Amino acid sequence: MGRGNRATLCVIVLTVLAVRGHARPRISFDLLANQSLLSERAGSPEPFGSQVEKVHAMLRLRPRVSLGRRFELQTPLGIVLPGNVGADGNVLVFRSHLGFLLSRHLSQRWALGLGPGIEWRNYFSSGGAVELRNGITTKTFYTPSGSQAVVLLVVCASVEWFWRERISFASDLFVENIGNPQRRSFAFALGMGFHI
Amino acid sequence: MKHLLWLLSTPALAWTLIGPSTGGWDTRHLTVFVNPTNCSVSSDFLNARLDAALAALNHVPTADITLTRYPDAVATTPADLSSGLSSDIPLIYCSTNFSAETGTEGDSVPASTMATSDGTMSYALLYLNSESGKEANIANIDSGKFEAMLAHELGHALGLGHSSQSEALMYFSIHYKPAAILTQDDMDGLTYLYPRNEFVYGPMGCANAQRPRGSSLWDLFRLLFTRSRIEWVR
Repeated sequence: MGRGNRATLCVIVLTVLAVRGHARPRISFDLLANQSLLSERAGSPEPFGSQVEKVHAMLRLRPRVSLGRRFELQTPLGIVLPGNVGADGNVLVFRSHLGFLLSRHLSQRWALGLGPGIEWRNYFSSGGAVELRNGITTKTFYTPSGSQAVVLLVVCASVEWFWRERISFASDLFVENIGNPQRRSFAFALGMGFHI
Repeated sequence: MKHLLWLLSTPALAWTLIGPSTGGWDTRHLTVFVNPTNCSVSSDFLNARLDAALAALNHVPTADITLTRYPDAVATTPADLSSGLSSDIPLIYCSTNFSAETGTEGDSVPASTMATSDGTMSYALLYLNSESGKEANIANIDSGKFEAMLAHELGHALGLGHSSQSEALMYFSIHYKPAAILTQDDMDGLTYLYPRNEFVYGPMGCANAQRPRGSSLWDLFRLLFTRSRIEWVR
């Protein structure tokens, strides 16, 4: 098992132990619309329209453990649902994230959360040859064969507004590469949570 | 488990690799060398456009490759690389005999890249069209398109093939590209070749962990013995 996989397993086990060690956790299911942006796009003079990722639907399971009256620990695990992005389907990308948020209830309706997280991306492709234009002729290019994994550390911030006892609305911000201005990027999510 | 992940995955766009088993360079920091001797544009203009192209490629948040320009001009020629006299790779070289040297049409093709097309990359030579009297001479290209062209060729030098998505930087034509702008398609391709793993190489991993980089002697050895797997892409 690689170093990355061992660390991931440790984080998951610690989370499960932390949750088990407290009172029975509450769980919410969130359905969110997720969009990523690169930080450079915000202040750039160039139009970046085509660079912005399309909006994807994200399904998230959010266990919550109370830590006193005002605080709770959240470990949201989300996956980006497959969407039609005009692809040729040769390469598939699986995206998910796991967060560790400390949330503070500001009032009965509002809560703010902040904490670190991990984002995974897995690329899958079965390989193949594609004939594409190359200058004034054509040339054979290749889709990759196999899979590739990306693991990013992210900072997550969450604002939640409780509408009903079992329904809330959430807005989340994920910051990738927070310490690297050249590669820093943001993802926003907006959606609804159903509490069970 | 793998099948479940497949079902939950989102189809990516149409990026490709230049070879069936292209694996990218065996390093996370790649220095690009420039020989401006025969260029039909000034050295300052070329360097400024190249820096913009490198910056565009270096912005990909999920990729782990950083490109830098070697600060000084070099006098390395393609012949020096072929004979093993130099390992200044990747090299940008302006050709006054572009059509003959690259085997392409100098009136429509402004640049062409010769790169390793199989396995770990060890060779990339970017020819810029400085052939006099040719319509696609780089002196006839405006700044934004010049940057897009350099970023496109550097994409080949990193292992990417062409994309069928017309907005992508790696689309075969830069005709409608106002600047070196990467689309999600290009970023997915670079991420596949150079995936960022912050557990292993980032703050959660060993801070000094580096992908092994070959010595210059090893680079030279690979250069001499991988000739048959080097191909042209425009």
